[in-house]
Amino acid sequence: MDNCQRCKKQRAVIKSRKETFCEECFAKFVSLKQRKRMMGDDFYRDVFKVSYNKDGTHGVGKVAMGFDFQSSSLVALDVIIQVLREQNRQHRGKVGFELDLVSIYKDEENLNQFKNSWQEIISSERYSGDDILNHIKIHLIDVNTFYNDKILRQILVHNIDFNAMAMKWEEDDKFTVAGLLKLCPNRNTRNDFWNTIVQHTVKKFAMQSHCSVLIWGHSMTRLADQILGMVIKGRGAHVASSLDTDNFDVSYGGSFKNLYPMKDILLSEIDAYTISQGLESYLVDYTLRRSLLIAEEDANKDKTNSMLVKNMTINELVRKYYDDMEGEYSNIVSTVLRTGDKLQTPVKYLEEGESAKKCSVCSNAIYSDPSLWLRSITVIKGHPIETEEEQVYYNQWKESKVGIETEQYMKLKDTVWENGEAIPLCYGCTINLNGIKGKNIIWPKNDKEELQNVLDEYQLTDDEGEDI
Amino acid sequence: MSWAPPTDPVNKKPLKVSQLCEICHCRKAVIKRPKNLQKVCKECFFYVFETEIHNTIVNNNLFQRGEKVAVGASGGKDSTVLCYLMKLLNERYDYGIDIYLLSIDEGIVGYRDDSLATVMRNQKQYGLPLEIFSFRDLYNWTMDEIVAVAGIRNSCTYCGVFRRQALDRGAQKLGINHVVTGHNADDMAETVLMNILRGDVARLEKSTAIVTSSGGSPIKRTKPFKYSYQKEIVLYAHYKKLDYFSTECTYAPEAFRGTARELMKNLEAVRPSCIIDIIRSGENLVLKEKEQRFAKKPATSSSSKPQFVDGNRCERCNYLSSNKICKACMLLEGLEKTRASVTIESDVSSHGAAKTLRNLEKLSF
Repeated sequence: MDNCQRCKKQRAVIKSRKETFCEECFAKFVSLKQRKRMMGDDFYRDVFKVSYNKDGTHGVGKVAMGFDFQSSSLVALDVIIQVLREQNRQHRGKVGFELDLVSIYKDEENLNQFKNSWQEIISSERYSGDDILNHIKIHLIDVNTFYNDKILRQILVHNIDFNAMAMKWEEDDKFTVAGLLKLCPNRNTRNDFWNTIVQHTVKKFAMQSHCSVLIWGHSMTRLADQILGMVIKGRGAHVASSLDTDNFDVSYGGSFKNLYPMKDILLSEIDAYTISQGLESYLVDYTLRRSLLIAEEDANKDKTNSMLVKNMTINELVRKYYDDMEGEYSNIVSTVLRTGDKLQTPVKYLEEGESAKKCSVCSNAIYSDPSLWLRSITVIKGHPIETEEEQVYYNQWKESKVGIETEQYMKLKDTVWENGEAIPLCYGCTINLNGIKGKNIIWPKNDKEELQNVLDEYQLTDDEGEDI
Repeated sequence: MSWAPPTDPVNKKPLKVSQLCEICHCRKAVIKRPKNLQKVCKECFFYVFETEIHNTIVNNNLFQRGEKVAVGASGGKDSTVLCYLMKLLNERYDYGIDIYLLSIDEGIVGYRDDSLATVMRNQKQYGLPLEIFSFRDLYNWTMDEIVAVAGIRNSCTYCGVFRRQALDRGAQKLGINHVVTGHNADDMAETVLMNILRGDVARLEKSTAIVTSSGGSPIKRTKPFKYSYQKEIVLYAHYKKLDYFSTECTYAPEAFRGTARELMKNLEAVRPSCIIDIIRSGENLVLKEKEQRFAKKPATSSSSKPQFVDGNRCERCNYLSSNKICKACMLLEGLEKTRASVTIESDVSSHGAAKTLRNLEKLSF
């Protein structure tokens, strides 16, 4: 077996980007790429580094990170802990920033998985040797906090003109995220809503806890999936804003910037790091890719994705495409990311003096009216009834279950149109709602008041590691 | 070659409610629209399909009264439906345009000659004037000869460049300034994906433009089928019993385009509306200004590169080109170097796979 191409001493165990690495050199390779992104800009450098004031005191940056116990967030945390340790050592007990990890759980089982994994992390040899974890806190948040104690609205899309209206929803029963996901016609829509809810909750946390940076552990591969996935779902206008790390997130009070420090690292590299550094046991619901491990190179060749195409989400299909292309067009992932980075928000489509409206579901900016566009390319009215036989069939349809359901939708639509208010929806959300039976969902009113609403947070007790 | 439209099947069983059209609710649904998953009957389908194309034409102001318009006709499904609809809509909505059929003979024996026969029948069926320009006359090469010397892998590169230029030259000769082509929503979405996947930012913003023209060129090209799914075009041709040539070109599509096409097929299976969704995205993809894009990169020597000026002309053929020599002349130069200096009279060895396939079809045992 060959030696590492960097140190030339140790045995090579990982092969990435046509280069072979030993464990140590590979860890350094990954870590440097992340650190470069964390320190590559004046704003971020000021947040992360240890800075001293004139009076000798030192400022501590406040940073949040979406933490889903998957390989990329674990690796991001591992490298951040290394950074904190170095700062602690070099500045005699001082660090540049404090980190709040935000994990969103879907149910009790998921909560227990997260708690157990975190318990393992804090008691592990790797992290418990010093008191560095004092600078890190974990916040476990119930996904249903998205609905709890909010003003809820029934949002409905018009079947002909694609406009959307909303009406206050005042049922006694609590509405849950599981209830929403049950309404979705396929995994793809479910995934879309889930991601919107998780992203909103994490961003809201970052805003409420006055963080100045929100870290997302997205790898280069995940970002490339996201870019192409957004284009495929009609959300191309939002690609630029989703990758924006230069500006403050104005949808959430403009108090923090989003950062993707793993942007230059492939997911396969993150997985290889996870394995080589022994972080595997902390993963929750995640299957590692072992494609870069030299020892398992041959075993990986025959592995194929067994999932049927029809059951996959758009993002999974895009990921499969990248995987299939890896051999012949190896730089496709970085090319897509570079292309995404060259885009800007399409503000040029706004009328002069007009400001972009905010989608009532996903909070993204709307630059051109999707309902108008859909109306211009889709005709919904058809050929008139001509014969008696056709009239008979029409009457049969009207009295049938389908006809009654349509009638119910029409009644609901009339009520909402009479008592509700017009709301803006982006193209992607209009299409999602249009695909749901009854073309409506229950969603919290998306306003400043909602952003201030306190998040339902799971408090870790002393035994469970509150004193980390 | 004679052609007779197929007859409709006769089925008089009473319909179930679930079989009814979701627009009119009174006739049998025969297709499920990929755009919005609506099940519609033949009559409603014809109405919505034709009206949507009319709306595209009107909303984008594609035609001017009194304008001469050439339809790029290949005899395939897209261009046949385009010819039929241009004539129909021009009469129905009185656009006041003069329609011509313009065909390019690339010289693919066994493929293009058969499809041109279809165009000739279309000419008679629709009563429209037809002009055919050939690669042989314009470039002194046929595609079969090009493939014989340059190989099958590059066939689309040569064919694409030469055909685009040939359409312009043909239109110019006829005194026509407007060419409409049968590019559909699938083609457009595929192009958006391709440009993102290979990082072709120069083409990305323009990939969904319904009207394309180069500065200095009198010819504009438009795509009235921009929002029409290929599946619907095929079904329209089928239900209208149009006479079209359905064989695919025997020279393989470019390898990378093939992968994008495969991805699109998979995406469509999961989300049929994805084609129109991609076009919507494509229309909203805006590039950062160059200064912004290169702000973080160190200055390179690119400033010494000659600047691209829209409307430049090729030094050899006087066709529009961003460089001194246009792409077609560059390709021709390369081809000329490989041309045999001595040829055998009536040699057919360069005939490609299409001819072999046609010959095989005639065999009987």
